[in-house]
Amino acid sequence: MKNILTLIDKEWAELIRDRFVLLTVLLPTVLFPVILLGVMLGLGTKMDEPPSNIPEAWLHLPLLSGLSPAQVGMAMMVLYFINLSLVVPLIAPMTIAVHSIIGEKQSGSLEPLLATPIETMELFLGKVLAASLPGVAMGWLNYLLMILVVGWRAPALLSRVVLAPATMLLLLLGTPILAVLSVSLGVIISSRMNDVRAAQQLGGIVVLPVVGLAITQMVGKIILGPVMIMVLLLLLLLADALLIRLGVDRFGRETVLTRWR
Amino acid sequence: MIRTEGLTRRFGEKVAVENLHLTIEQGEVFGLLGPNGAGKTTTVRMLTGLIAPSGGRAWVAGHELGTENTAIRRAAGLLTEAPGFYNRLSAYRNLDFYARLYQLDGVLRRRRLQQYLERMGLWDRRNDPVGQFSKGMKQKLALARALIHGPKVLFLDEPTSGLDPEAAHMVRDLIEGLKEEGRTIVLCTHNLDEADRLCNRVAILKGRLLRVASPGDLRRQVFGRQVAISLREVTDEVWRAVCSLPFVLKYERDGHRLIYEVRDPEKENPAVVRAVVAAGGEVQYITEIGHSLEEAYLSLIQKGVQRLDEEHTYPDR
Repeated sequence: MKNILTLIDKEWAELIRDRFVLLTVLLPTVLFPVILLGVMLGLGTKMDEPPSNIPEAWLHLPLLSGLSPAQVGMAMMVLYFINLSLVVPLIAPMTIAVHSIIGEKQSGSLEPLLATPIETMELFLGKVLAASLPGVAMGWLNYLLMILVVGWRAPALLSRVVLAPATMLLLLLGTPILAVLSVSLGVIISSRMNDVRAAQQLGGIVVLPVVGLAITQMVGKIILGPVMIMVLLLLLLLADALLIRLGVDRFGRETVLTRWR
Repeated sequence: MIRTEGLTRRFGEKVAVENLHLTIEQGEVFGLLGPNGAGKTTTVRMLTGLIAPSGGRAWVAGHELGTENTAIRRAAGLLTEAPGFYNRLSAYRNLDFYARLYQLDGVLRRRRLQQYLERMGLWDRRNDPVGQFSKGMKQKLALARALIHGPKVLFLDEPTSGLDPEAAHMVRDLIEGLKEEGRTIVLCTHNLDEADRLCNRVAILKGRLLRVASPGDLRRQVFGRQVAISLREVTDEVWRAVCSLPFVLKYERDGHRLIYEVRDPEKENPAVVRAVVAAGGEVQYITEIGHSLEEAYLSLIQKGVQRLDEEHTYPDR
């Protein structure tokens, strides 16, 4: 445990000195709430004119019963941004993990590190936690900012959308699950690549399902309830377990020294 | 302190290290010499528990390889070929990170950090990011890292690589000091002059072990002990007199010099000189021909040890 904390401490000391990575981690966190705020401010002037293109499924959602069509339109937009903000716990950990591991490969610091008594599992967990914890923190901070924005501009939507059980489940539990998934994937990608940008581009595909989910919900094709979200999270947990297993295998001393390129 | 029995490592079809038998005593500076790809780094990586052997067994500081790798890593220090630091962090922060991984407690850790940073002449630059350091400074910091936990065994891969002459001298002094402290040092180097100066024994590797000997013995094994007698003139009488001596193993003329090889020059030189004088030779001076470790190494690597053994099977007279 002590070695894991030592490694996390070192990783974060490096992180706060890397402006580019820091910016990549912080920017999406504030970007989504700011854009949402801008959209809400823009829509706020047209609240009396109900949008004409609200999908039928949204208008009949029990969660939104009693709301005006304009408020339903706003709820649709809020949920879209909330879903979209799930990319925060994906982008930040991926960026940190890729920079950390490829950085170590490029500087040649992996071999001296592997020559210390640190265990393979400690090394892997240290790297995963150091990269995923900021992602989780940023994801939850992003959620908090969303709550504040919606609470300020559309309080009626707080309990119905932003603090609805399905949303809370997705944002509170989904964030760490997605962060671990992203880091594990980042570790696997980084073990095979030497270029940070190329690795990030490849890792970027991890955000596509989230964007797809956000769009699918917005157009009313699927609107996820708590049960579906639980199932989705369980599937993601399984994916986490599989990727962690693959990641640990790739973190063996011998694999790192002889097979990482 | 280090013992290997048939240590072997294959990478697919390629045999990187084959059937290595070595014993390295405590306090010894042991050189691993060989061309690139000879298996030096693979050997060090196996002995530090970084990669597993394909066959054979080994013990480092009393711990068996394979079952006690963590204990081996605790007892060993490794200076890797590339210094490898976290460039955004300061020298102090880098070293502190490794000291923590070796579980050094607060007071001892701070004392060791100061001790080694001062010893390497880096104390005044301790708060500078390592990214601002020159190659030589990074190398010195890497040495401090290898020593920070007080290891019994040190594996040093090219310790003076990239250092200016003054820093290289400082590192060599440091190695001498560590040897006096009783630490066992395995030195991988292409700098044969350095190996000659520092090592008690050297091993010549080229996939398999070609020779293990002290630098002096290695030179003698490869070249024998050659003596040159400078004469006013090497006459046929002198030449025949030397050729007829049964203990002279090899002989050749080189202008005014008569070069010969004997097993024990201290014992046999007087008889050679007497024979030369008796044959009318006028001796100007007599010297033993010195060969560098580099010459011996190149001879072993280029000719291969088998051919060399054949050359030294002297014909009966």
